[in-house]
Formats: sequence, C-alpha cells, structure tokens
Amino acid sequence: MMTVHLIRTELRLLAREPLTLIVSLAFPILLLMLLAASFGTGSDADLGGLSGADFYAPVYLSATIAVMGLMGVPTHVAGYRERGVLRRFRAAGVTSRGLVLSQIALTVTLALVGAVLMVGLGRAVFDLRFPMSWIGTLVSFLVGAVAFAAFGMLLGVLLSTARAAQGLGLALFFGLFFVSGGGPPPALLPDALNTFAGYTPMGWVINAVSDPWHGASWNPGALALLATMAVLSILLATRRLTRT
Amino acid sequence: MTSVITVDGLAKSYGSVEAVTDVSFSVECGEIFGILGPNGAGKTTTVECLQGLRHRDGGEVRVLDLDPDRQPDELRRRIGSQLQSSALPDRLRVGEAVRLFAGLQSVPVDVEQTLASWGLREVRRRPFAALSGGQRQRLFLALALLGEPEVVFLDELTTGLDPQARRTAWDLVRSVRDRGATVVLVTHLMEEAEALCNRVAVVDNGSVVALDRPRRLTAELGGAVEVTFSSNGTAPALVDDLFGGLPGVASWQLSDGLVTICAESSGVVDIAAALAAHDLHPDDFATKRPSLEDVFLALTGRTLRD
Repeated sequence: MMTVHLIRTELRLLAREPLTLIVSLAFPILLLMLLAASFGTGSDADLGGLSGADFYAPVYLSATIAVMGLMGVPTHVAGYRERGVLRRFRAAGVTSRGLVLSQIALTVTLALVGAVLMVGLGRAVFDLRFPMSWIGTLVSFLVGAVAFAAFGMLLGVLLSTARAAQGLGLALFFGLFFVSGGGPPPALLPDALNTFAGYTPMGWVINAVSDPWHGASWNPGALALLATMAVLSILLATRRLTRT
Repeated sequence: MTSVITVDGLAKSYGSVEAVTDVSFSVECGEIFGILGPNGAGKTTTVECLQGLRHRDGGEVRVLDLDPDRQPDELRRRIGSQLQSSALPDRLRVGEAVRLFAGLQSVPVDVEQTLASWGLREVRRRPFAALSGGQRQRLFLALALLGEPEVVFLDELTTGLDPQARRTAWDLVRSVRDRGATVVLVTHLMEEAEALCNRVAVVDNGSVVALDRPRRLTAELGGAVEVTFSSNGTAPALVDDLFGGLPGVASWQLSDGLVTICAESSGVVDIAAALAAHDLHPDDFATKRPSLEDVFLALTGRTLRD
C-alpha cells in the first residue's frame, strides 16, 4: 500500500519533469537506430550473420536497464538523501524496505516502457526480427532490470551527494557498456576485453537478454548472477537506509 | 504525571567524534519539553535517536514504552516529526504532500480539514520549491501532526523565519500541546525556549548541564536582575542614600546620567518603592531579568551563539 502511494507520487513527479525521463528513454533508442542504420539491414559477418538492428536490439535493451540503474536511480536517490527527503519520508513512517521497493518498481516499469518503445520502433523502421523466446527475453529483462535498479539504489544510499552519484554512474555506464558489446561488435574486440566483459554485470545482463532473443535458450548462469546481485543490493541498501 | 519519554545515559558517536556522551532526562505527558544548546551540542542527534532515525551506541531510551532502535516502525506510527534541514521533492505540490503522508497514517485523515486548519488551502497546488519559508514550516508542522501523534518532535522549527512568522509558529506549537500532544522542541534560541517550554534541558558538548523550568533556571543560575533608569540630575550622594542600604541590592553605579542597579529579583520592588517615596518617577525605569543565555554563560563560560 505504502509502496503504491510512493510509486504513484514518483510517477506524477516524473510526468511534471519529463526531460530527464525522455533523455534516459531516448538515448538507448537513438543509439540503436544509429547503429542499425550504419550496419544496414543486410546480414553482416562481424555480427555473426545478423543485421545491425537484430544484433544490437538485445544489447540496447540491456542499455535501457543500465542507463536507468547506473545513472538515473543513484542520482535521484542521492539527491533525495542529500536534501533530506529520505529522512523526511522515513520520519513519516515510510519503511526502508518500502523506499527501496518503490524505487525498484518504478525503475523496472520505466525500463519496460523504454523496451516496448525500442522494439516497436525497431520493428517499424528496421524490420526488427522479434525475439525467438518472448518469455525468456521478458524474464531475463525483468531480472536484469531489478538487479540494476537495486544496485543503483545501493549506490544512491552509499554516496553522499547527487553529483558524486552522477559522476560514478556515468563512469560505470560508459566504462562497462562499450566494452561489453554496446560499441564495436565483440568479434572485433580483443579476446581479453571480451573475457573481462563476461565478468561484469553489464556482460551478464547482455548475455541473459541476448540468448533467449537470438535463440530459444536461456542463460541460467547469467540469470543466477543477476538475481544474486539483486538480492544482495536490496539487502544492503535496506540495511544502510535503516542505519542512517 | 506519567513519563512518555525516558532517556538514561544516551551515547552516540560518529566515528571518533562523540556527538552525545551522556544525556538523561524524562518528558512528562502533555508538556512542551525544550532541548536547548548551541550548534553542535548534540541536540539533533539526541532526538534522532529518540525517533529511531539513528541507532544509539549506549544508554536506555523508551518512547511511549517502545525502544526506538528495535521497534522503529511501530514507534513512527505514533509520533510526528518536523526534522531539521529536511525537504520534499521540489515539484511535489502541497496538496499532494498532505495526501501522500496522510495515506501513510494508520488512522484516516481529513486532508481538506488539514489544509484548511494550517492555512494551506490557497497554496495547495503550489510546488514545494515555490513555497516561502513560513509556508514550508506550516506544511512540515501539518505533516508532523497528521494522524494525531502522541509525541511530536520539532527540530529547529523557526530557523530561517522572520520574527513575525516565528511568533505565529510559537502559537502553532502551543495549539499542538493544547490538542493533547507532548512536544519535544529542539532549539538554539533561548527566547524560543523561554517563551514556549514548560521545562528545558540545557545541552552542551553532548551532555545535559541543567534541567528545570526556564524561570527556575534563570532565577537560580542566571545571576542578578539589572534595574536601570535615568538619574534626571539626582546627585550621586542621594542615589547612594536611596539604594545603598536596601536589602537585596548588590551594587549600583551612576554613569552618563543612567543609574544601573544589580539586585536580587525580590529587591526590585523595594527599589521602585524607594524611588516613589522620594517622589522620583523616571519614565524609563526598566528591569532586565537574566535569560537562559545568562544561565548558559554561567554554566559553560560561553554564549549560546559561540
């Protein structure tokens, strides 16, 4: 009940200040469009015989998750913390768990909206092929979104200022995303970099979403890692909020 | 009288900094209890520990028979808080804030009635960022009092308000008490503590240095009452005659045409009577009672504003 109240309020506030939201939704979509246009609709050997749009779609779905989780959530939450909004909420009886869950639910909802827009536009403009396994893609996307939203929440309550959160979020996103397949195709990157990417949360979420998208297979290893990341982040963020 | 809050040997450190070393007091039901001290004395830390917003390192705390560390959620349903340097999201409107916080209460809240009684109806559609200092404080007070809390914590309620708005806020605090709530008021303003509080704990360097009714504190620890009036040409010898022998007069002096007498508070009447007996009626006869500021100075050797 409390969580529903908070989510509704946050949505209303977002609608009132749409620029941030539009940018974070549009950024991955625009990049996908750019890449799809530059690789063309024909199959490409560097992309494993796929077209640009087909190859990059699951990668940029993951980018939607990461932009929100690493850049949107920490900045928002650290800003709340810095200005005393979190204390205000907690003193009014909002529990730490309620705060964490409402931010995660909000982020996952927004990421889903971004994903639907992206797939719809890709289909309309570049004749994007739909995922081989809808359910696999959806579940992997949701697990990834929860994991990144929770991690973003943790960053937000650990960092003392919105500015610091924004800086770290930017560094994490760009540092991880372009070595994990968001930029040049992995086939063109050195092996060592590809191996490294496989050990990062960005690599996990891209693998988890790409596997059911391109084939009917799930990636249980990546999903397990993301689920662990989600649980640990939720626990640590809740604990941190309760203690301070 | 029953105690709604008992604090015994409260201690709290941040790293190596000891914010609160030894704070003990109890708050009776229905009183306005002041926690007075300079910035950094440990006042805010103390009330944050009482509200379960911070975990204490040592000591015993009971608020409404609950332990704030172990039963924070239960406790917060029964208390109201106005926090120092807290805020709401910039674009949240007044009406929405009241509705959001009303939805968190365990009892139903009449949102319209709340907006009306705090004079917030005209600004209900105004976003938090566009509110004046006074409007923000009224909103925070309104939020703190939603759901009829049994204990209300007010931390630096009037900081940033002009004198007019400050007096209005004081009236609001009294009305909170009159509605039956117990109020814990944190302040670094001695006028505020004197005007509002039934009892005051004077806090310095993380511990309580004095605790009593403001009047008793000033009478016992504040030192002499100062009486001043113009001499209007009265000869120093006569002044000496008049006041030298009066009981309760500690000292007197005449300079620049102004007589200044230090006396016990009971001696003021005798001074006035002596003047009247000699047909002297200075129109600027004034007494200055010691304030909590003087009490603090006497106790710590420093002023509250240091």
